[in-house]
Amino acid sequence: MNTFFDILAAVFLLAGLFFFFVGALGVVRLPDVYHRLHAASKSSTLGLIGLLLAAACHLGTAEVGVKAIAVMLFLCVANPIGGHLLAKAALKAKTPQWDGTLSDESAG
Amino acid sequence: MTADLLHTLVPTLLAAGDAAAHHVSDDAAVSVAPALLFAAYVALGGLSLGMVLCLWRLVRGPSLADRVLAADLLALHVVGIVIVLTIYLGDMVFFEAALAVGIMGFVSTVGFAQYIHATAGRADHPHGDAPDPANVRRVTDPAQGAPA
Repeated sequence: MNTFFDILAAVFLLAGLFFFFVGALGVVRLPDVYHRLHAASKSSTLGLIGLLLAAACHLGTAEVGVKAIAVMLFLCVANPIGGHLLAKAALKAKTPQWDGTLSDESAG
Repeated sequence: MTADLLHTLVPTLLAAGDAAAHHVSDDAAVSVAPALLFAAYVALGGLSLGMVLCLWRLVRGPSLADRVLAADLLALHVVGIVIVLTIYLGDMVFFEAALAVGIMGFVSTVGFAQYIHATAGRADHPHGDAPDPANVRRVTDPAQGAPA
């Protein structure tokens, strides 16, 4: 049973690593600030949730479970707020957009 | 005065580090399955590679918002590495650091976003946006004096 939970933890760990790595790759490869925010905020939330689930599966105590849930709730609130504020500030500072951007509702 | 402080402080810190290391190795009673150990190594390597990518964006990023989002993602990578270390050591000692680093990363992101928002378009607070070479010269090399 312990081995089963360890393998479940390994699966969660690799899934979280996948999301984290895709986010870092997107931050390097995407063309402008808004695309990069899109990559950074969402994928890192999912990746960290995966890593926390892995820790909870492996250690299996109530202490780590409660703390993992606390960190998950905090992330689910904090990451979108940070991304939204940063995108609004970048729009206000007129950070240049990618040439292929199809619509800009803030242009007015 | 400073030398005295160093002579008392350094051995204390070293002893504390030793105690922490023994604490970890004694308490690491939870056995780790080989598959999970392999996954932990892979995750440590992948997270380190992701940190290098974030650092590249932090150095290169043409605008200040790019650098701020790279720093935010860097802080989240630190949280991820702390969680993988928790799994690897089988010990909760570092788990508090995850929440602390996460909160500090969020607060710094919000602070920088407010700074960008408040100083947008002000000539005395250049954000490092580099649409034209003249702006780049003014931002990166103040020794040459203001451009005409």
